[in-house]
Amino acid sequence: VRTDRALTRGALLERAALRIANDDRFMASAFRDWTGGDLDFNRTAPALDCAREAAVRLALCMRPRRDSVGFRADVARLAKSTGIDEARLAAFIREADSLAVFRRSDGREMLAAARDASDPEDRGM
Amino acid sequence: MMDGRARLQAIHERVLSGDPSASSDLFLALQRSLARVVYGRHRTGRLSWEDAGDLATDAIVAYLGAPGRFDFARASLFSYLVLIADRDALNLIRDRATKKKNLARFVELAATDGNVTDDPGDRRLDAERLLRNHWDKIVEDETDRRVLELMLNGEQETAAYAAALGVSHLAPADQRNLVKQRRDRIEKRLKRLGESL
Repeated sequence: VRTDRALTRGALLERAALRIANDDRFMASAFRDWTGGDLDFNRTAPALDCAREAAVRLALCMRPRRDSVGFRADVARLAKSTGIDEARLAAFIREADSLAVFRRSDGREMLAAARDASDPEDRGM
Repeated sequence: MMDGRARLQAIHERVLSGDPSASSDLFLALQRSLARVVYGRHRTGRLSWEDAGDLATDAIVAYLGAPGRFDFARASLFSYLVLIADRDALNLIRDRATKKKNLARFVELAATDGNVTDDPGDRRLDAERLLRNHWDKIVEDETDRRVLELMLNGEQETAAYAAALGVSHLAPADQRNLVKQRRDRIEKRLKRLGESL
């Protein structure tokens, strides 16, 4: 699509989020991981229980660090900056991470984890 | 209240310190102004607003990839990003112009003597990529496809085109007319495509 008409700020920001969705440094890529392909704000905003604008804003943030201390601190910052509930945001990112791993491994790692969890010895039985 | 420069310096420091929300604030603060500057400077080079927005995004992403390269003492962050986006805009315009020129030359060769197979590699590749991306604008039916493929293969024999058109049973003069009509139609579409790029 090409136009000579000025795009609104909202339209430009959404376009930016789509453009960076393949860059794993950005939250936009977590959105893509969560939806399983395309970045879809119509699905992610309700999942985060926030307005579309807040979801777009979050997509333009960097993904939190992976270590547990860094993760908690970064999620708190992201939540404060976007107004999204911190616990919901943390759960969303973890789910996105798990789905990405699951897809990359064709389900093998998830199946292995499920198998470990169902192992009676692992459960101390 | 912070002025613009102080606000950008604060964002820059947050980027350096690893604040994950700083990138979003940077997009909100600068992306549209940056796109407006790029569009204003290059619209005569046929950049669209979408192009300008993408160039602004890419400049911000490039900065975020190496924020330490930016020195606040030497320039404002906005000027630094304009510089990156401006350079990329020139490259994009040049790249598009080259592709357009290559397609035009390709069409010219196909139209005059069908000698496109000997065309230099880059030009031919550019033209073929453009044709693939805009195939539906050039080819309207199966016969068009067969004729275009003959043209791309540098075929010069009327008999081959007549066979592709299914008119080999007609008199040679009629075959030549029908072949010419079909090739002219395809060449016109190719030229139109070249002008629209």
